[in-house]
Amino acid sequence: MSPSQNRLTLDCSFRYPEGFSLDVKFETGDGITALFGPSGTGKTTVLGLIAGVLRPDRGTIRLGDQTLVDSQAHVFLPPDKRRIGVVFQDGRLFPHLSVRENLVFSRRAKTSPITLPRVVEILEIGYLVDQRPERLSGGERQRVALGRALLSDPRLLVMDEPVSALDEPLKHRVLDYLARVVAEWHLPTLFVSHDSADVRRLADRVVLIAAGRTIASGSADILLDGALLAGLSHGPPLVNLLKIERLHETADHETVDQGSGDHRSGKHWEGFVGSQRVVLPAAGPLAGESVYVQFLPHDVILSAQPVAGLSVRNQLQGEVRQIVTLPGRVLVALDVGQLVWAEVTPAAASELRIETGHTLYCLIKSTALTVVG
Amino acid sequence: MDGWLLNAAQWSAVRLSIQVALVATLGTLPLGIGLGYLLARRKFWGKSALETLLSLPLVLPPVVTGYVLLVAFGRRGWLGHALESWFGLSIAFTWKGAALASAVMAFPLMLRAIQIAMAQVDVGLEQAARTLGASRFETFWRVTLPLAQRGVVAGALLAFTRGLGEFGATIMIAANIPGQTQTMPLYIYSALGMPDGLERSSGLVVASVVIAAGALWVAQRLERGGRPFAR
Repeated sequence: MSPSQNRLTLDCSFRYPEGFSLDVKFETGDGITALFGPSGTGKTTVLGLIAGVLRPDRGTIRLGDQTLVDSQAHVFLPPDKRRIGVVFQDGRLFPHLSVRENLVFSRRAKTSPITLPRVVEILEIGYLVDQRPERLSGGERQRVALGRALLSDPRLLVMDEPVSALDEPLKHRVLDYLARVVAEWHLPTLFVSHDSADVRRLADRVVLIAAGRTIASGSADILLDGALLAGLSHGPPLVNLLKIERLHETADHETVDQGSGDHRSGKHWEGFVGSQRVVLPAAGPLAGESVYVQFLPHDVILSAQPVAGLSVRNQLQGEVRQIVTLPGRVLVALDVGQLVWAEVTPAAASELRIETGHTLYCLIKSTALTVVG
Repeated sequence: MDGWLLNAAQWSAVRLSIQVALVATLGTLPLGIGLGYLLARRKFWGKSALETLLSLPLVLPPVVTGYVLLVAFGRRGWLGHALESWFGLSIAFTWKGAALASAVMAFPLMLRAIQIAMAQVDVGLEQAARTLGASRFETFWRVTLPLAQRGVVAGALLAFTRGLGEFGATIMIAANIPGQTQTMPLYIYSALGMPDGLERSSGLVVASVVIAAGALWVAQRLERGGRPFAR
């Protein structure tokens, strides 16, 4: 089955007895789609509607050409007939079964083209199969839950904040596993997240949801639309995420300590964004070709010219793409090969005469960068 | 076995008591599991009326429950008459009547234990099973029931021990016929009417304690290791 036959189209409304109402409309892509928005805006409810554990008051849900829900035609396919693999936020492993029994719980596991040995290999959970779920760590539990969903031979994979409960290093490992899974089986995936960095790392397509309404959907770049994000009440903070490529360790220039006259030399990590060099903060050994760094818009200083004689190590040249004026601050999006948001005061913005299309330099201290795997 | 701790009539009372309590327990267990699930998971019209009705034997005097059973299942009772003419089955004044009385009296205890255990099973796990392709029934069988196992075992144990001790309703519908419907409590009650009653019944009192303790021990074994409902 080709992935495009497994696109999900949803147009539903749902009202909780307590009064919270949801009215959403979107379509997933062939790859990874993120359902993104602040906490408490109904993202999990949307997953419930898709999985079939909640019934919408009105609307339709289609998977490819199959109708899962059509309130007017009184169609409601029960969850076991939908073939949607769900990874719940808390894993929901069956406590009375071993990990292996959990993995093959679905009767479809026997005939699935996604096989147990392959799932165990890709997710690296071989050492867990004979254990009981209660002994597993959070990351292990999520991998087993993902494996279990995969072995139910789903047409669509749906995940609710799969990594939000995990700490940073673990989160990135689980996201790597997820990327492997999608690469191996080309499974259309919808995941819920309130973390813009996770979304930008993983998703090709984003559906933005707030206060129970779909605000926008499109390519993952819509997350870089500061105007949209600023429009969210209690929106998530805007975080820059840069992919640093051609990672390598390099020797520092020799420095002379003025006090003692000692010669010092050391090593540091650096890499590139396009052709521009980025120096990373002191960190342990890094593995792989590339790494992501995260930093806040207010850690970026803008300059009209390249600056010499500064302690700041990173100067990235970029073209202004978008300017968002907010009360007390101005957000500027620059294309340095990837988009970077900088936050400046309105006074600074007018002094620099920032306009779309201008070339500016982003100055970022290495120490402001956080390596996120 | 006459003379070994108990005489023949006493052994017969022990056997009969175990038979009555066992039949009452096993006979109502499927109903207890089914209703326990229904009450724990579903909302339906008349639910609280049904719960009240099912709990009535807990609060009614046992003799009143026995009276109602006798009216319904006696030879002239509408149920008793139907059972006798269709299946040749007579309930009143037989051990089956004693089993029925035990079942009715013990059922609310069993149901309550099972219902509470099922209500404590995480609905999220049942939903997860459904998304993995398990039907409602399969989910019940493979997730809900195994996870509620402790409550089911505890409920069955409560019903069994309550059945062993049933007196008031039993004497109404099954009477007190030695060798036929005379269970341990009825035997002890009858013996007390005789001059050496206390001594005569002491063996049975010990037997009651031993059987109840044995049932408790079996139930604990089942809960810990046996996983009787797991695949």
